[in-house]
Amino acid sequence: MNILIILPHNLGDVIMTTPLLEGIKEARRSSRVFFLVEDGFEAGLINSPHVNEIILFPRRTIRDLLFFSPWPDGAARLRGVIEDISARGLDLLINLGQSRYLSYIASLIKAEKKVGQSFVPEGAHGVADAWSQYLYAIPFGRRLNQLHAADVYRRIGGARQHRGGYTVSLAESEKAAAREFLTSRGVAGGAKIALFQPGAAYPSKCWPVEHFAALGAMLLQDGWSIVISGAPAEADRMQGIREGLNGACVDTSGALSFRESIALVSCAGACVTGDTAMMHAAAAFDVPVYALFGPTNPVETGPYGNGHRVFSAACNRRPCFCFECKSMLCMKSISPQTVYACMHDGKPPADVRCDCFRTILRHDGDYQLQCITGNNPYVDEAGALMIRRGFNEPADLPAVLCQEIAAHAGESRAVLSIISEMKTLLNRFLGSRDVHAVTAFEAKKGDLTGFTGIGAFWTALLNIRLNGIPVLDPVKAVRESLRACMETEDQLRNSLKGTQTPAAL
Amino acid sequence: MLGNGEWMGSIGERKAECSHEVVAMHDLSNYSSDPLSKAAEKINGDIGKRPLSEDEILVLACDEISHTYARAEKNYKA
Repeated sequence: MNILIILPHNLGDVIMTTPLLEGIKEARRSSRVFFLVEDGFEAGLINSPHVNEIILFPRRTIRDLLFFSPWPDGAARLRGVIEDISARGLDLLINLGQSRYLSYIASLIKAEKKVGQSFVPEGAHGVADAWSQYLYAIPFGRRLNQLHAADVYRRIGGARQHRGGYTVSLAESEKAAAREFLTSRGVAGGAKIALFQPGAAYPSKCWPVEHFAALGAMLLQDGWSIVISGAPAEADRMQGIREGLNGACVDTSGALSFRESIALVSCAGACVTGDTAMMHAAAAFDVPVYALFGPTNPVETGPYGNGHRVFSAACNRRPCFCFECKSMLCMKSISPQTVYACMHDGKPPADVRCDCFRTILRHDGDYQLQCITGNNPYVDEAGALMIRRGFNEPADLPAVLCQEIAAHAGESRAVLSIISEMKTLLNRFLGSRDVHAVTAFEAKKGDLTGFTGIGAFWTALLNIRLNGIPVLDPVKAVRESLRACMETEDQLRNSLKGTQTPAAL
Repeated sequence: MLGNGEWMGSIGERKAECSHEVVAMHDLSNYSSDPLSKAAEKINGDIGKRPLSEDEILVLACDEISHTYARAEKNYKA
């Protein structure tokens, strides 16, 4: 079976697909796996035992041709890439990317079966499979998701079992080069190395430089060697830490590629980082990660593995996903003393001012955040379990959550009632061809917009399905809309099994 | 998603437009003299009226790629 995975970027996201890749190979050892990744973002895949071929997508080259040459030159280049991929005789295409251009490309690549978003020539961006639809619905009910992105990817690709954790493979020569680099910078073999990653994709994800420096000073006292990793664009932050430590650290900025930095972190005894690609790379080598989370969600993109520590400050807007933040209170209130205590004593201090979590990979293969302090503010457990039941996942509803379950059940039943009426209207059209029934269907659909809890997730899921239906053939569109309503209705009913009606409470 | 009811219109005419011969006529040469954004605008205007040809989908992909930018185009090595 020939399988193509599409996820061009970013570095961390690509590493998050590695449990899926392993699962595919485990399930179908004879399958050939191709991975389409943007040129420059392939570092986590090189030498992978689970990828037969990395196909580099020249997005920047195509974009430059579109801008600086007659644009048909860029189109011809893109056509060539698509034809080259199609020539592999694909049985399955899995598009994990959510960019619009990937939906068009997925549409043009020839494959027997497609999973994920793919443009339908009749005029809609379709998302055909339930778990990809789940992925697209998460932003409409973030607290209702308790699955890590890696575990959602596994489900999208139908890979349920895996060894546990990421797989990033280094050649012996790469490991040797990393050790040689450290030696050349004065870090003796066998030294305890703490790798700091002070930069991140955007400013609000960055822990303050002075916090890194304060933590570094404490670790130096304990005999750690500090190595700072980052891109040349992050040199200012790295310099700030270096100055804070009076130069007692190794600054690698501009000296190593990301792949070489991955080899470096494999030599470390700890990695202190925000939500970055380096965090995922460190987790891949089971290097203890101390992950500092602000605007993003450690449930979705935390360090995948066992025993890593996640810190998250008690901002009531988290996870806000803001690119920039004036106050940066969330990152600032994760104190260096708290991180140090976890590194030194294995637990946070008594006066901790942020939430601390431990990561685990459960026996069923899923990642989970366990609270060390406080509660998990990221997950509404009752709602998340109900939704997983809707996706045919075994999930017992704990009696202790009966009030939350009852509230969700009430809202779910209200959604169910509206969808039933929508179905009736579509059936009326199919029986009579009365166009007013479709107009009434549209009006009834508007009733779904008022939900803010679990109903908003179900509404989003239904809309993702309806939005993927082209209307070129109206009768066919109505039939497919009816199918979308029925599918959502079935899921709602599954999610409600065993819950009590309000009257019974 | 379904529209406001006017879409019922003339199904017969639409089906004629859906024929493969008509779709195949919409190749790159129909658009190559236009700026890319203009070509994409024309094609977007036809979405929902007829199936798009592969060349037209290719143009839409190009238009989207032209709007992608340089985020994360950084490597660690200078």
